[in-house]
Amino acid sequence: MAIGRYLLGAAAGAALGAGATAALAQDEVQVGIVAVNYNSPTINTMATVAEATAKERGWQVEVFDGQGDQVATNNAANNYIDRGFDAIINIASPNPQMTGVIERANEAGIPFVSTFSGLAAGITADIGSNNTADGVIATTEMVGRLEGQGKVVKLNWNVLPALRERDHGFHATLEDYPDVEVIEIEVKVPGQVDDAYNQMTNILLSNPDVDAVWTGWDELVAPVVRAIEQAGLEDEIFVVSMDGNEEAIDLIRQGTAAELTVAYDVDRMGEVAVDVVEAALAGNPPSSRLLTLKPCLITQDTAPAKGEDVDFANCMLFSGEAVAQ
Amino acid sequence: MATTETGGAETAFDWFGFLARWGTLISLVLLIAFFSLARPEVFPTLRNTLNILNQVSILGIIALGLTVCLVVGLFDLSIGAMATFGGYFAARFLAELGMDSAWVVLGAVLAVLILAMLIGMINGALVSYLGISAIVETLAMSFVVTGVILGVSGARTVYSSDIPESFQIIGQGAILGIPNPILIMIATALVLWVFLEHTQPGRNMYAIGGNREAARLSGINFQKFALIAMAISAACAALGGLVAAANLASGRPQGVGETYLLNAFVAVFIGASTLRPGKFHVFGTAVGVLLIGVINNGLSVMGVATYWQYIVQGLILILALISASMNSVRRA
Repeated sequence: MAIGRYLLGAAAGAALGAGATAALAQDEVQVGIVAVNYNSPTINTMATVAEATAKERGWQVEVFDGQGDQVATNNAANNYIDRGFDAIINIASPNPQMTGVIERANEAGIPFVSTFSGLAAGITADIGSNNTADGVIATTEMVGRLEGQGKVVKLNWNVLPALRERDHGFHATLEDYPDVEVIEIEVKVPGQVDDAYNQMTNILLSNPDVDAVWTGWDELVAPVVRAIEQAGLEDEIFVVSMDGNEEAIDLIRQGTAAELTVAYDVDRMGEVAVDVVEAALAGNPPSSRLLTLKPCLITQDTAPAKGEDVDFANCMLFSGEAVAQ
Repeated sequence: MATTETGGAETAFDWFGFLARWGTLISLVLLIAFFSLARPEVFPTLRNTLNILNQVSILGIIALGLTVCLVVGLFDLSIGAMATFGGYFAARFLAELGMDSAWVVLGAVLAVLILAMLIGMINGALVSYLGISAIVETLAMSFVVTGVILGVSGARTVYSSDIPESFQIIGQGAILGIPNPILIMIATALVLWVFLEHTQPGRNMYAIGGNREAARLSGINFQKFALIAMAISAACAALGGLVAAANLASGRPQGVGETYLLNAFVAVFIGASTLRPGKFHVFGTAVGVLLIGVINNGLSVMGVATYWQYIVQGLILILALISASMNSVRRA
């Protein structure tokens, strides 16, 4: 099994080496960007930045939005390959569900670069974050605020690999805190925003003693905060999350129940995806298939002013760094 | 076969007819009783009752509009896209205007509803004048509307900080302790109930739904009522989406209406097995919507896993459809 993966990787590398230089020799590189769910704020940002970065380099770019349809996304990527595109960038569509596309890209000798899509044999690289570690960071901050005991609601969607990894981080951290009681909710997707609001409202009716909420990604923060405020419990419950989208940071800045988020440099992920494509086309694919970027811990104290971006180069990742300064 | 004996003999009780009429309502009562016994401190409280009604209000508004379409025998699959349309464009208009005024909000809401009605009328015209299948045409229209929303929005959500407070009140405010979405749903139900049950156009719609050819021979113009029905359906869907946007203070360009599309059909078809088996009607739809709300809320309050909600909802629908088919089984 492992040998097979190495062989596939080696074959992909060799094919890239052969086809890449030829692509760069051409005046115009053609890149196809596919996203299974382009309207999701984080995905949208990564795709938009990748598109803009590629165009800045004089490349020709086409973008496909799968609107939640993985099959349509795969078909679009295959079409790009068949049309002779020089590279595929996959934005947050699970790579394990795109193995057929990855194989076809390898056969065509073109890079297949992804962001937040997980590991699969044959990819050039996946750019993202260490989601398990991020889950640990968010959960550790939460447990610290709870003083090691209390009732926590966890809302997540374990279908997506990145969210499942964050979930692993959550459970790994809580293993040593038996006094933290957890109510686990698997939200309904699509309809996750409405469902998060409804489920949270119902839980707070039957469990008004909830102390904290852990949401797997920031899109759920606003409906959860809304449910908490509607129940009049905004001073009793806090919310921790991951992603760092504009809406969640806004709520943290305003001092609502949203306490913190582990923010990802999604702009840079889009840029790095293009960098990796360029390097691969030049015959220099990265040595690791998983490239992770440093996230930031956003609290009310560290949230950027409205309209400003998070300073990922100088931000903190652990709350203790603020105390030590 | 129910038979009547001579001379005051006993009449066999019509179980088929009874279940066909009352099965859904009995299911609802039994579910409420079950959840009340399971969580007596939470489920049967006034707060949770309002909570259930609030949670089903958006679905209710959309399903009530769909009922009108189904009364005339037309399927409207564009309601999901129209709900997204209503929520996104109301939020976007207001974000662009940047004015927090009740009059501006009223203007934006009316503009969105009128646009939705126009789209609904286009649906009605294509279906009735050109004879295109309503299912296919409304599905096609939903693609067009979704494309327009994604194109205009660039797939970006309008966030709460850009949406005026006076708009958010539509979804978050309350009058005499009753959340506004509930009041909007009740108002919609009353208006449509009066329209369908107590006006001549409403009766004409039932006549068309019952037998379109007979209605035509009676001088009832199908084209005109198809336009009206589709316009009402589209406007109600947009209103539902608009309330959702106000409730969660975000104008989402995707992922709003899709959630409600299938549930709206489920609610209306459950309703068609209530009291008047095989007929779509406002009261039945309200019962269907409530049934879905009670199941989701009850299981959620009991801490039951999400997948059970899907399973139970599906089973209830199957039972409701079996109940509705009792009459035909009996006739056979």
